[in-house]
Amino acid sequence: VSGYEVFLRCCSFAETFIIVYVAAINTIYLVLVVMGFFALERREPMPRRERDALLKSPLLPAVAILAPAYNEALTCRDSVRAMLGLRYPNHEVIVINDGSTDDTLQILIDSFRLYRSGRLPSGSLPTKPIRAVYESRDPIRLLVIDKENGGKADSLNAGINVARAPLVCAIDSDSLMEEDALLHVVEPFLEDESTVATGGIIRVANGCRVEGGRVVEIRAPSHLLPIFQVIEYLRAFLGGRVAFSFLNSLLIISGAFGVFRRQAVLEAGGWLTSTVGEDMELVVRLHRIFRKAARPYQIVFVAEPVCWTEVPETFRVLKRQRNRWQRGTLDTLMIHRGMLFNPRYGVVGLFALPYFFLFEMLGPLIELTGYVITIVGLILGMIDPHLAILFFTVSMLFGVLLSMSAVVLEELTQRRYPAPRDLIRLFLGSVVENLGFRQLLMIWRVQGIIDGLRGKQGWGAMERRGFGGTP
Amino acid sequence: VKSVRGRVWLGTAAVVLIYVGAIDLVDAAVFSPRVDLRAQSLALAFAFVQVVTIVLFVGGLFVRKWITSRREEQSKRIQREIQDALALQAIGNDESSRLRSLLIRSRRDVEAGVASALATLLGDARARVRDVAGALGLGQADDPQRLDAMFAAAAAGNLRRRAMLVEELEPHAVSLASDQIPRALASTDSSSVIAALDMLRAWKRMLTVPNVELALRHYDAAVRVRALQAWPYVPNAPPSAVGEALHDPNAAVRAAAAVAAGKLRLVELSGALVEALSDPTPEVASAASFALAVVPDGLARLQQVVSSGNRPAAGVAFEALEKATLGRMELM
Repeated sequence: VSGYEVFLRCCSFAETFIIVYVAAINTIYLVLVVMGFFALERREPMPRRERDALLKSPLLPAVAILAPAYNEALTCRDSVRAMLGLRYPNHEVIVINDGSTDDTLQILIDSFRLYRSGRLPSGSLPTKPIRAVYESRDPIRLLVIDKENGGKADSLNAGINVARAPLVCAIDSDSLMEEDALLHVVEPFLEDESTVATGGIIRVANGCRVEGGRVVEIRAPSHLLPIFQVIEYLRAFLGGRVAFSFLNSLLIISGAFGVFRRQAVLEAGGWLTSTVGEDMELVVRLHRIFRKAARPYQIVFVAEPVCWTEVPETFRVLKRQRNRWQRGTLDTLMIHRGMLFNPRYGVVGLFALPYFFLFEMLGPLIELTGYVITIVGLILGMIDPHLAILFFTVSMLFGVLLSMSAVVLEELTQRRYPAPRDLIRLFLGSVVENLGFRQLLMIWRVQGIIDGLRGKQGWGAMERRGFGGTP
Repeated sequence: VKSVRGRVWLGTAAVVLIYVGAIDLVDAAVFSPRVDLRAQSLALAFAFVQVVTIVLFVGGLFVRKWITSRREEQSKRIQREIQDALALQAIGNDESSRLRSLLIRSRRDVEAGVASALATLLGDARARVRDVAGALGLGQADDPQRLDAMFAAAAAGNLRRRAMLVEELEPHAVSLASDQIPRALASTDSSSVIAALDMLRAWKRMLTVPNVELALRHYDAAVRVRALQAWPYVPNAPPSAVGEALHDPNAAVRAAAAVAAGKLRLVELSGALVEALSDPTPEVASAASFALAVVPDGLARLQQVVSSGNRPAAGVAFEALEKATLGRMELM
């Protein structure tokens, strides 16, 4: 057998593998989206009467909102106001100033009349030294921890040490939560005592009108890059996470909005400081601990609560963010590789983790290989151009279909975009994002994998524009 | 729950089968006879079905959006009418026939309107709305059998359901405290006891309830915690029992006992609370310090502990002193 024949056979094998892979990934995406639809449909929204009764009830567990802040001078005041204004009968806000080099701490001290408090941590997670704990003189339940810089995970650990509530809500300090978001995301804890963590949906605030730390008018962004991200978020949250939650194999609770049972996090050892994917890693660790000990538990995604966040509007910042996300996924999968395909961990070990390994981590590499082989095959005349175009068209159409399904899911279950023009924008975005943007993401994700394997650490700065319209 | 999960699985399987079946059907009927290559005909069928689905998605969604907005407008109109009729009923007019006709148009809106009115009205106005609700067949909790059923549901349900029902049962607290609650407290079922104690805690009505001391000797620590949380709102509950609970082997019970001692201002437990400042569980020490900050002579004792410099008790005591000085005891 000549070398050329071996090369041809390899190409043929790779071609078949990629076709099977693309078919498998698309089928799984389709199943997840459809499952997400039925799982969302079965969940009745909380009637107003019930919501009002719950909001008056002293039986609701206390919640401590943990908001790490690093150089958030632009948005921290509005965010804290919005957090304090949440409709929940028993919550306190703990802002963790992670060694900011800007005026974050001073703005908080001035805005909320903080004094240096004698409050002591009751948890024992190791963290960077705490310089001081501040509380407000005003009748508000606000606590600010000033500590040396140690990253987001370290800040959350410091926050959970100081918190006393049985539930902690980890959020990004630049995120804006809707008034009833906390009540909704706590609901699974009320319904089932075995709930250890819940995550809420994150929505894109770019384009929306924000006043006093609240989103007062919801609009789709006018620029293409945030529009693409709106669609991505919808696809990820309403399709994927709802379905994974239905299977009790949710692996990601976004760092921007998740509630945890404090005791469970303390038992697990808190957020891991040596990874940039600390949100995913903690959730996988909780699965590992509870499944290993055969303790009943559930980790739930709740689609109703809404936390709004500003997404990158430039390619440079977006690239940095996606690189970090990919490194986070890689880190988590490496740390918990013992769970992969391990029947001891049930559906998490046999489905969720393999899905992340094969499709979320290796996906970009395989996709890139597919593009390279197709181009090489076309140049060498080994692939029929008509078939190649057809294959590309089908793949692209499937991508459009999945993105549109997410928009449809949004409209059927959430209906957050009241104006038809916003829906038109999202539908158009669903088509256009498949013509270059997704391919660009693929390249950034491949770079993320390479950086992760080379041991690159660090978050990279997220440039914020701040929410407009602050009074 | 199983049947709901089953429906999700069934729905998912049905949609995927219909989708795959549609591709196969289009392939067999349209493309296979015209295209030689099997892969090519299948891909064309795939693309065709996807395009049709996308068109259906977009078209269907806009039609749905239009229908929903029409319905919402209609609902807003009817809600205004319901509110108007209920307001007139509350001030003494007879609006039953108008409400009956509204009930035919939208039962859900009338139910919600009545519930909302009952949640906000008091006295005669509330009674008038409750009577008309009963006449319209929108049963309210005054019926004894319904009261029993609601109490049972609160005991059997999860915390969300209980919190909601406790609120609805609040107007009947006195009658429940003489019958259903003592029965539940004497029950061997932990969830019934917990539900009864949660009600006492939530209502804060200072109701005399028999059998409440049984809960403090319950084998289940969760019941003992709930009993201590309800303790300050039960006038016949013996305060001395709180002192015993301060030495309970379970830390959550000790912490709850410290909180109860503070709420009841049990000066006789000051010594025990000072000891609890050195409890190995920080939550217990913290609760004890806050209790000391509100009991008579507690501040002086906290001051002594701070001056002694014994850590970590001194640190915990300092925080409580600080809060008391700033008048921020509501944070405790």
